[in-house]
Amino acid sequence: MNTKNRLGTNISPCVCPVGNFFSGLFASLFGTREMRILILGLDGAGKTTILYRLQVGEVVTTIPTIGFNVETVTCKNLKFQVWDLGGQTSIRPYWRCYYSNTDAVIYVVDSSDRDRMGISKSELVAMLEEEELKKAILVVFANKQDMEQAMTPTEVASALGLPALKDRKWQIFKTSATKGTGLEEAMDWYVLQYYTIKKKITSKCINNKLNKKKKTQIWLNICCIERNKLQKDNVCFYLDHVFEHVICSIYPE
Amino acid sequence: MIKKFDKKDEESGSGSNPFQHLEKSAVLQEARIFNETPINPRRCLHILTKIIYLLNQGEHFGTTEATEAFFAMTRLFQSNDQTLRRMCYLTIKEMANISEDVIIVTSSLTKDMTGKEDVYRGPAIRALCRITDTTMLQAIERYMKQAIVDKVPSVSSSALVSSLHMVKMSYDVVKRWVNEAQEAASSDNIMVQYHALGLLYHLRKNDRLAVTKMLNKFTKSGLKSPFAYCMLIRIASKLLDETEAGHDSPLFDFIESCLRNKNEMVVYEAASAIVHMPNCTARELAPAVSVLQLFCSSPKAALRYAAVRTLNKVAMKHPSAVTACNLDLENLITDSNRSIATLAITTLLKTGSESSVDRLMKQISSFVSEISDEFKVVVVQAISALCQKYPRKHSVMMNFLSNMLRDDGGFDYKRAIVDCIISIIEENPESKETGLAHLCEFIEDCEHTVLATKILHLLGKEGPRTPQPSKYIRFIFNRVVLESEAVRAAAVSALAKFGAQNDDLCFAFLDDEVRDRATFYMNVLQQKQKALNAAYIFNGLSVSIPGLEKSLHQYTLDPSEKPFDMKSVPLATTPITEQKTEIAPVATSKLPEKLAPSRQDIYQEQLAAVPEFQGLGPLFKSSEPVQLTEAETEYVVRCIKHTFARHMVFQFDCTNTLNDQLLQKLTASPTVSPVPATL
Repeated sequence: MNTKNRLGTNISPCVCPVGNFFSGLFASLFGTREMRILILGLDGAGKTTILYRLQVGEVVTTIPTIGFNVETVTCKNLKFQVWDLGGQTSIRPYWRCYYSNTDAVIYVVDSSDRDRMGISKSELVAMLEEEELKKAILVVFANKQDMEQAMTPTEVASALGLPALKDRKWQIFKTSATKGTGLEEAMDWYVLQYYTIKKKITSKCINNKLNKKKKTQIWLNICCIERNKLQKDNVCFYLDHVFEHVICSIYPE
Repeated sequence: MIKKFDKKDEESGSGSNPFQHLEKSAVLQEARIFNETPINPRRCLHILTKIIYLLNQGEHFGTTEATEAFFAMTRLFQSNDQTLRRMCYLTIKEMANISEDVIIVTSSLTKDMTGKEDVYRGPAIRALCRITDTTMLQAIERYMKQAIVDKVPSVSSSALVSSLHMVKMSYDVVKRWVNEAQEAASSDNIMVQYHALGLLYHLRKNDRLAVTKMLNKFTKSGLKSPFAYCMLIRIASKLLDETEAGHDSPLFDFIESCLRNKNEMVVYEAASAIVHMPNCTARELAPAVSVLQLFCSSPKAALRYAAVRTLNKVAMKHPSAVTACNLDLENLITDSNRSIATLAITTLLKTGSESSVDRLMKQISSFVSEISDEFKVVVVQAISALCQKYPRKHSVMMNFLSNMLRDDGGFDYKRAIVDCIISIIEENPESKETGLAHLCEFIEDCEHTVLATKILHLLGKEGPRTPQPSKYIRFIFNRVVLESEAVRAAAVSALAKFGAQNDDLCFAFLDDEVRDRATFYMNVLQQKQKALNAAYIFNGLSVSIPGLEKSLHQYTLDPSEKPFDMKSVPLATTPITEQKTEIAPVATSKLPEKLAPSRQDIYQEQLAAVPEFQGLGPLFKSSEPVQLTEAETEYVVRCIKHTFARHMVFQFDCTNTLNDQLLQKLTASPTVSPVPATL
């Protein structure tokens, strides 16, 4: 996904006054646009359980998903549009219909299902080769860690061939959807990644378009607004990055 | 959205359809915005409307494009806009059979049907059942069973109706839901009860014993829903009909008891069921008829219409029973609803006494021009029935029919009238002359070839035997001059019959051509033996009729010493089965072909029209046309060789196939190649 797309949906610089440009920028940075996350993985890995654990915070009884479930999940003050696609062999071919505009893929693996680790790997590899997912962040959930015979995250990662991945931001987490462990950390990590990317994009945009004085003003504005808004939230760490960046951009030496 | 359309309509000023000029490819292109985030529900809704509109207009969607649009549409499930979601359900139902892999929405629909949002649940069930096949059905069976007994009526109804649809596909699965359907049948909601009864019946309809048991149960326990009662009545009467049970059966008692139901619909259904039963005694009919009689004076037009229509249908079967309602029917004659009035009058015509016929006919003629053709046909049929009953009334009827015949009307209507007049003529010799006169008048300006030929045939058959055959000849002759081939042919054969029947026809008052024609027939009659004549003229001529006509014409115009030679008349190339056409003159679509003059006749006529060729004598033979050019050239030339006794004529037909060019100054320059003559 390129810079223009992210911003272009909200602003059109040649006709909008500067004020609109700013608000468009803020919208793109902290805005209301929902991020699109796909939850993929073999059948019975626990995708649907994870989706509803994230959404309502409880374990719901699920049946094999024929098709998909889509829910809006609010997490860390951000809204995610999460698609849980069915993992049965007959439904996997349809995954690709939902790849476009995806920000992240959560790939769920049943850590106790050693027999199908190979299938899981080949599905993952096939998926990562898709052009539409080139920019998507990969988060692997080594799920069902509460099971006795579960593989460790490191084992799972090597079984899936993750260390060999190039040009891909990925991370693996040990989770148990039924116990609710690991999900929080995973989401924190993802949000951080998300903001880092955003920051890069935003700063690039600002640096390209404005003089130094304007830049300073904007960054200070952003910091003030965001500190007020996010004070109680644990994403405050993000602001440190912002400050750091502001300092760097204003005083390059 | 709707408001927006209205506004557009007002602007264009013509109430035009905003979707009129939709292009499928453009709409499918637009459907790509379904893939965008965030979703714009308003725009997506509009595009879905367009897609559904196109589908309902019968636009063909290929599997690939339909599947693509369908999968794009599934992305709209991320939106929680209620209207948009319900539009998605509609789209799923429309595309269920044209797109592939529609099962992809199974989980989403299952979630909606079990969710908290009641407005989603019913429609989701209906959509889900459209995309589900027998194997998938077992996966959602549990939810279907729950939905059938759901306390929300719309959910329960949706589940029941969807189950009913699926009985055709997966009878064995749906059969397992009988207990749930039973429970739904005792619901307080009238629609749920009705739908449950419908499902139960369709699950059991092949098992007569089970249906009987079910009827017994429900007739005893009673139902709340009037719709369900109507259905029970129908099931009961069907069962009575099948089992041929006597009217002492408890089922009959049940139907009769429904005559005392509080609900008018149930009462009507019961009355209608009773009067339509075969072999009902007068005593059994009486209560049903009296109920219908009561409805005749109801302030509700629908009830009056239902009652009078039912009475009309059974009037012929049970005239005496319906007679009891005559007074009420009389009141309906002036009903402001013309349909009711028409049915009332035609019922009265069927049941009324002879004395009232005049009055009724007068009444009906006052508004006959205001009712539609179908009702006019009903009137004509009633008159037809009446004429059989009261033959003496034929003059009134005939008069009325002739008036109707003069009015505007479609083919079916006119045919009904003509048939009616013909049947009157056949049954009633006294009416023959007036009837024929009316028909003659009708064919003077008749656009229906079928009717014209039919009438001409009748005139040929009946006319000669009337006291004054001559007066019909003028009408027939007009047809010979003015009409298309089929009618002309029919007219000529009708004339021939006149000739054959009456040797001493007086043609003095007719004009020249007719006299010529008559003379021809006289000649034929004089020259040949009478029996042979009759055979020729009545049973079919071996010569083509237009050719015969032509020869006769020539002969009489140019009288010679020689007697008229039948051999100079070209033989018909295809034997014209005059006999056949006489028997079935109604089979008209084929008629023009059969009676069209043969090719040779046409040539003879064409050649005779060229002054240079007039001395060549009768045409011996014409060849088949030979194509001289390729079929797809700018102009097509074909050649026909005409052989005369001592001459040969080559006819070149040159046809210009270009619309924008005009062929002028054509010359034929035949070059005779030196063919060695081997004679």
